[in-house]
Amino acid sequence: MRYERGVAARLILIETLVKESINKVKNYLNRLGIKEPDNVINGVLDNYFVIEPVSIEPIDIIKRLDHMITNNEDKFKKDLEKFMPNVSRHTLNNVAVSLAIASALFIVFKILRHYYLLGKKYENWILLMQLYLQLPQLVKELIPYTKAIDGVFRGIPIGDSAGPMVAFKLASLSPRIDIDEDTVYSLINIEGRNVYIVKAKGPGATVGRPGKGVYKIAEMLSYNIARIITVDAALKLEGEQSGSISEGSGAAIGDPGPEKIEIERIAVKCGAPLDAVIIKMGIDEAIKPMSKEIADSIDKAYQKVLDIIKTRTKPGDNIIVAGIGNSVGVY
Amino acid sequence: MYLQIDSNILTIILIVFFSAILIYLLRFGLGYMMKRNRSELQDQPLKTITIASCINNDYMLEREFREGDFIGKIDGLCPKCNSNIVIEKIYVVPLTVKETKEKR
Ligand SMILES: [Zn+2]
Repeated sequence: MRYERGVAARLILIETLVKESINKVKNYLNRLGIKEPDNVINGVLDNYFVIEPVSIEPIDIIKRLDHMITNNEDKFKKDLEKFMPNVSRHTLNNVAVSLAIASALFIVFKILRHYYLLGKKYENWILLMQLYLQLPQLVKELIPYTKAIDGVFRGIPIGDSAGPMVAFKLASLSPRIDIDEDTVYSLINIEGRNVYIVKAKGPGATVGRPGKGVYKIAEMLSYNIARIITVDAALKLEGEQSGSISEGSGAAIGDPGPEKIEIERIAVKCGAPLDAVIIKMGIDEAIKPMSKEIADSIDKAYQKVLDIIKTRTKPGDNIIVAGIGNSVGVY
Repeated sequence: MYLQIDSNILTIILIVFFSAILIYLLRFGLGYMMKRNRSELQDQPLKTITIASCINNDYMLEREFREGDFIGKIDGLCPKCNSNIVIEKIYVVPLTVKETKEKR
């Protein structure tokens, strides 16, 4: 009985979180001048799921997954455009990400409620006990999501924007050339090397398609690439310092697979070493507006990338640097 | 059996004493639970800072975030050399208010 009541109390708390985040989105939509924000929100909350492709037949699985993710995103943004036709692409991306956060919260709430009701219905105390023990942690993990909505709507960079910020520091204000949907690149010269910097198109909230971007640049240069460097925010282990920088090998990118595999395949095809520079932070810091600690660590990550370029490549080389992450508030 | 309360002053004192403790504990416990719930949802007051600097690196300015700011936005002209000022960093810092001290 104690478990049941405890779970119910926590679920109410999560429900208020969901309602709060939906209200926030509604307020912002009102401010944008959308007439019926309820229609937009209700249309999004329960829709746009992606069904995983068949995995017992491994041929082409990543292509199929990519196809479905891309289709779903396109559909989502086209539908949003219908609701808000005179809104800039950046604002549309901000709205899309905020709606995605609200609907993620809603789905978590629905799943938890499902297990709670199931446990009550069949008097399955083990189920209720598990929920009772796990809910405090879940509540604490979900609270940052509601706060993230404010940041995204106002266009404040979040922790995950660390990668694009390093890219900005490298590329500065040099022209951004479109290469794929919501993805841009800039060409700069660092001590005689041609450095292609790929990032999501800012300052709207989007992660773009950095894998496709890297692929297209490699194709453009007929696979003559000396090195690929990926920069991304990464989850720290509890106890590690937020904003510490670490370097390793591989593609630092946390998508479901399609973008990451693209970068890996290109690196193999070009015979180019693949460096990963990561900026460590907690899961809450990754989605909340960027803290000073992480903003200050951007300079260190930038220095590290410069170091790699200067010490491990020769003048005349083509190098790709990909700033992975959400480019909200970063040009 | 009939309790002779009115004849026993000590019993009355004890009853009053224990009911006072009971009420105190109940109120304290409730208040504690409410406070915990509230503090979980409560926002820590934050302030968003925008840092912009001149492209020639001879001037830097720090101000509060305004709607529409983004990293890479040209934010006016430098008073020293008249070139562009570009927003370099945007981050949040916890706002230290006296209010939080007063509550304790
Ligand atoms: Zn100046």
